[in-house]
Amino acid sequence: MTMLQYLRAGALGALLAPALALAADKPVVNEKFADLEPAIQMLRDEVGKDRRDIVKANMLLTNSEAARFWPIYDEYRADMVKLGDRRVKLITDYAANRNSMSEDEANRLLKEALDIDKQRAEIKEDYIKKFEKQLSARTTARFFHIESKLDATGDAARAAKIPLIY
Amino acid sequence: MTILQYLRAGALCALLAPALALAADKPVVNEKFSDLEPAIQMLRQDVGKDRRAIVKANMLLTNSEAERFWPLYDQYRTEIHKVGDRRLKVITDYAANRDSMSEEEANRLAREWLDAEKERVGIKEDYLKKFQKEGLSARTTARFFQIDQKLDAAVDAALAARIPLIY
Repeated sequence: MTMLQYLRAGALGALLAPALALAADKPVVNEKFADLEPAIQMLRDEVGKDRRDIVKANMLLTNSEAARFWPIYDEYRADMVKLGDRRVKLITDYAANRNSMSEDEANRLLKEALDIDKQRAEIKEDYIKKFEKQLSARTTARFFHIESKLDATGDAARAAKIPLIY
Repeated sequence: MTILQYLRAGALCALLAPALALAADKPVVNEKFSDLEPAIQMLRQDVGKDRRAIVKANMLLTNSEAERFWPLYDQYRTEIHKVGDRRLKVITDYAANRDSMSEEEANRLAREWLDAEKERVGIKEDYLKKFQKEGLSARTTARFFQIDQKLDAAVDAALAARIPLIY
């Protein structure tokens, strides 16, 4: 079962449960998560694989548009995968030190997390320009709208999986 | 039932269903959504109300930390709420013009959305410094932004699921 089939099957509620458990009256006791990196890698692989199909099914491109769209799309995703590598590094550094983290390290990770979010918006801004050189603004907006839906789903799944710092 | 009770009850799957329906083979035919703005306003209000309680229950602050934390928290949320207004404006402008949008308007909305996103990160960067200036530890500050991020991610996913695609 791929991660997206899993999500489609309605298991997202389960994925999000730890985030929602935050709403409980007493502080959350976090589970161990030695296998966090493989889980994140799996999510990336699966969403990455299905992602192209989802975009394809929803972009409604003509053949001529498709010929211009896909090369830029692949370049864009390659940049996003690099950013994803930074995020995996951040999460695993965090996981390794969560219970005994120095002030300096907590600060560094916090800034790195925000920097990654900023970079994501900046990469998108660059690619809006690149897509619009080849395609209409409406088509470009549709693409980034699909992207934001996929990102929001991935962000929620990831946020749910990462336990709080003590 | 508040939206967070709704989320807790496991109904988030239903909220997210339209986003996941993206994965279907044929293009999604989007429903009408003239009631989008009131629905989003309700979501924001309900989450806003519950949000403080959730943060409080999970921050594990001493009394002395709490005195320094909460005034900054309220200031922070006020600023983030303004960015939320910008985002809501993009969504409603988009909804109003979705089927007959000019090239200029499509371009403007895509940029405005990303600009609001960057503003949100910028505010977090500012407050990261402010919290630490008040003597809260980097670990406490990191814990707060983690909780905040979990809540944002759940709300963003709910929002993303509710906004139909441009044609």
